[in-house]
Amino acid sequence: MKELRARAGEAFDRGAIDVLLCWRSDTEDGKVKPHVFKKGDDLETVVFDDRCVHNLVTFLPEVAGHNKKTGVVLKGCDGRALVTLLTEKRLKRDGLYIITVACDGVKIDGKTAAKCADCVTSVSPIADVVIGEKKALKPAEYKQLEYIEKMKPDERWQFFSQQFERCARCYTCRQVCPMCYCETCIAEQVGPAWIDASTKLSANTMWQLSRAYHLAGRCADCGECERACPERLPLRLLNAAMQKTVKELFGVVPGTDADAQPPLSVLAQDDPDSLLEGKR
Amino acid sequence: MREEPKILGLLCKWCSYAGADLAGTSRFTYPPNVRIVQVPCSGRIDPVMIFRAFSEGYDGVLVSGCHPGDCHYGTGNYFARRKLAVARRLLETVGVSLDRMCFAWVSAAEGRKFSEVCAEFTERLKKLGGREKTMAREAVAR
Repeated sequence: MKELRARAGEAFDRGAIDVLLCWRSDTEDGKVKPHVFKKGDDLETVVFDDRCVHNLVTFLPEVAGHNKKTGVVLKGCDGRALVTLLTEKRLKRDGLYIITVACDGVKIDGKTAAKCADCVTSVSPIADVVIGEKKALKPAEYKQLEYIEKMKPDERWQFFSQQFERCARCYTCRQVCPMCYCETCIAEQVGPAWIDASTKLSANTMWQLSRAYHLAGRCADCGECERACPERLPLRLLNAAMQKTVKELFGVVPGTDADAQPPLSVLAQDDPDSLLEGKR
Repeated sequence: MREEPKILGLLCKWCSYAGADLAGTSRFTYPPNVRIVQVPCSGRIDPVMIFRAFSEGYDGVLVSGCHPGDCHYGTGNYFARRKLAVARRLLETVGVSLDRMCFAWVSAAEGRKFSEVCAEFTERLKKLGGREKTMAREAVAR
């Protein structure tokens, strides 16, 4: 933490950054909160520890839009999200000063977050400053999907319909997601209104499927949707299904390769037709 | 009485729709279960359309476009192939069996192939029948 503060202070002094997007510790409830530090602010409240669950990349396009030189502190999973946004040209690499901190896993309500078991990068794949040691991590195995894969189609739908029925359609999962940046979300489009605004099972299913599909090949598995969901829906399960699909079909792990194109917007003339049967 | 399966056909304007037209003018017969929607290109098919078809109560979705290499716009069907492959796996995850979707490349000259694809797919859905609860039926019922 000392090194993080020193590096941040040095970047401010040198003029490398105008603002720093990081977590701050001086909150009333003892939790850490995302905060934009400006030049001259007290950097003693800059913090990075296992309470820092939020994905700061969610706020980054807005912060970077208002400032010429933006510093940001990222964990491994945040870094993957940033890589995807850069490959989609949502953000420009120039004007970003990326400090990444080696992460040992974050805690939600005192327990290590489930996403950390499947983490593939302990530091951001792109960075200007790396603090701490990069760990070699195993490729994700998507173990949580085994539970679903054992089921027959009927049983799967029974399981998912029970989950989708609880969805309150508050769209918290969308608001908290760094990948969901459409100006008009498909859920709010009218004429044609693809997704009914009601909380019927069919409309909820439409929303959940559309959300999962739109994250295919993009989702960095930061787990923010599942953490923020007030109904505790297993949203990472659907995201994992999409990640596994993209890995099997196109050999892509989203956010790990800064030069890769998003797999669904690649012109791939050599794909075999067996893709449509669900295999490569 | 056994209920007839309802199929939504999303056909590209240049190849498959013309193929369906040819099937008609050539008087090849195929089951009347397929409701056809014309789209400008198979690349226009947003998987959300397929999700919508299932949540509106269709039993199966048939998607058809130009053969790879023959797209009127050059590359639309390559993008469609990737998108639909992913969408299909997502639907499988939530319990819509892979057999409820059918993808076929049909050119404007393949009227016979179109009628065969429709007949085969309808037959497949009849076998799946009402025994398997589809996402569609249950979602509409609630």
